Amino acid sequence: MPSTPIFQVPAEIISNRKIGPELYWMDLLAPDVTRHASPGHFVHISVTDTSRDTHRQTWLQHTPLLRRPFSIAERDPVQGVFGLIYRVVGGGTDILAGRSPGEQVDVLGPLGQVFNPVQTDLPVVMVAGGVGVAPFLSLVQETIRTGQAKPENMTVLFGAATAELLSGEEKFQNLGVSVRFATDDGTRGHHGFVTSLLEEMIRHEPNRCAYIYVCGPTPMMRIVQTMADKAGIPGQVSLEGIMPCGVGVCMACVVPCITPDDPEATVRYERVCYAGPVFDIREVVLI
Amino acid sequence: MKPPDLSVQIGNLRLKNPVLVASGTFGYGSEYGRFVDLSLLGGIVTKTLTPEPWPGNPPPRAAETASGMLNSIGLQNVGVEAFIREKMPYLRTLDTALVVNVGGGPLEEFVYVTERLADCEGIDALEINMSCPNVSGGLDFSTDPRRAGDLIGTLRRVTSLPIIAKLTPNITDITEIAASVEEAGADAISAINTIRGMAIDIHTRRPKLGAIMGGLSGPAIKPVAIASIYRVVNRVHIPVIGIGGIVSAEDALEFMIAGATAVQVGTANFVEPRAGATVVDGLTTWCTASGVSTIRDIVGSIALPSQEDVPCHHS
Repeated sequence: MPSTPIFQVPAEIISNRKIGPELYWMDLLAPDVTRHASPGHFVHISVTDTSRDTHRQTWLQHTPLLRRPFSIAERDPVQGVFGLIYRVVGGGTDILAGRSPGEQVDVLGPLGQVFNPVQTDLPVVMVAGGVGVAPFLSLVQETIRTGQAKPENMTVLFGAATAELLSGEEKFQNLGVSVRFATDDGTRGHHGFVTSLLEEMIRHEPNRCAYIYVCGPTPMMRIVQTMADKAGIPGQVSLEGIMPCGVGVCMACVVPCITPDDPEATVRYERVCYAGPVFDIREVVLI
Repeated sequence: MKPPDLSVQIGNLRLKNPVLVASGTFGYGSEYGRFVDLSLLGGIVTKTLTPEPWPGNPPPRAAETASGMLNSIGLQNVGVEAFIREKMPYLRTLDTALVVNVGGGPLEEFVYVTERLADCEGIDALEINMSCPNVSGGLDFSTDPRRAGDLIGTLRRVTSLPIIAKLTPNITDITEIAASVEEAGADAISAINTIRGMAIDIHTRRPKLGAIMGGLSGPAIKPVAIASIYRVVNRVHIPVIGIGGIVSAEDALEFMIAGATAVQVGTANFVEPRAGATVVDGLTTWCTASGVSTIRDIVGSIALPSQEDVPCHHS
């Protein structure tokens, strides 16, 4: 299925900066990965400094054991640098937050299936929750870089718990794309869920919602899925999963999927890392 | 100087080096073949095959643990027919031994898959997954010596390919099963499969695996595996393939000194797709540095303390 070449490379950390509470932006120098990546791709990263720890026993080098998947949020093919956003949610991301520029991390990528490109003259909405904004930074950047669609044809609906977690908004603004915000605590934009913004758009500006992309917490994606279904709007969803291998061999990160046009078909388990992380919005059963 | 001879013999099967990749950790070869040189490996063991495509267990199917991971995949696989049709053409092109892992629920399913593979060109050996902790009844064949012998004896009659019986550590005495499969005609034993394990999210109080329990793998289980190998090789005469937490050449050597003729690298593939090749490299380096001309010489070379060396404790 995927045809993009996969690289495993030691990538130099160019920057690793805090951009919000427990929220970080990391730039990595990895020319091959960067040049072959498209919006929606992810990378699988070993958070420890394997280059420096060669004197240690191998199992210590691999503690924590598994790689962590991250969406590519931005790429600079000329410099060979890509960026990612992450939130410290556990031991692995905590180690990553402590890593310094000049050090290396082992990167496997680009991995997975990518977004359908934004079509010319097809107004799209991107619904992002928290760090789920990452693949949309990439999608907007790429769409404008290629001249595929105009900035005014893209609307980003961006929700988070609080204003400080709305990361990367200035990047959207630099690209000329309008962003509407929602925060759970009302510190920025709509006081409430980002899904309310989508509901309003579908009701009042249906001509601006011809296609929906969504990435964020599962309950949010489920609501967006229902809205898209009711309004008959096509779209795509980007998922994450507990992903030991990242390349489709271990069968762990599966999501139940249905065949939208064939109600008779049985539910099947698809690998998020291989058949996804981007799926047809009608295809996945979000539980 | 002549490079060390890494080749080993498992029944009729000659491996160019003793490092295979374990079933379930390497798919059907093609996934890693896109960016890893598979010809460096001694062999590939493919994901367990059942007669029909199998959906597997509900997610989540994996959880990270200290130096290891739990999985509860539940044998999701394409089924033997699709394997022969879609996976074998690629696998046949590889310059490495191909071991196909066979599974099932009832005995008839093992027989069916084995028969379908019996005359399939390009397969060098079968590994019998008689020890999957993640399917109902999956452990039945390797926790009862009589049933273990029945299964291997039955399969022995339907294939001339070398049979490797993969055993579980989830049993009081693994050597009873080992002796039973040897007597029934197994050409080799591979051990260990994963160790039953469980983890709970204390915030939600839910099990971290959808199937509640799963199998533990990774460096955490290596000592359990070494002890199992050590006990099994002292009981049987057929070759034993060591599996369990191998991430480096040093780990592989530990298994071989305990008595394993070959090893399988499993979970480490997820972390480091070139883990198998790195282990092969490390074995060459170690043999050269240690003046070992053939790696077969180190198999079972464990130096046990003699009675005189053991201080006598009087209480």
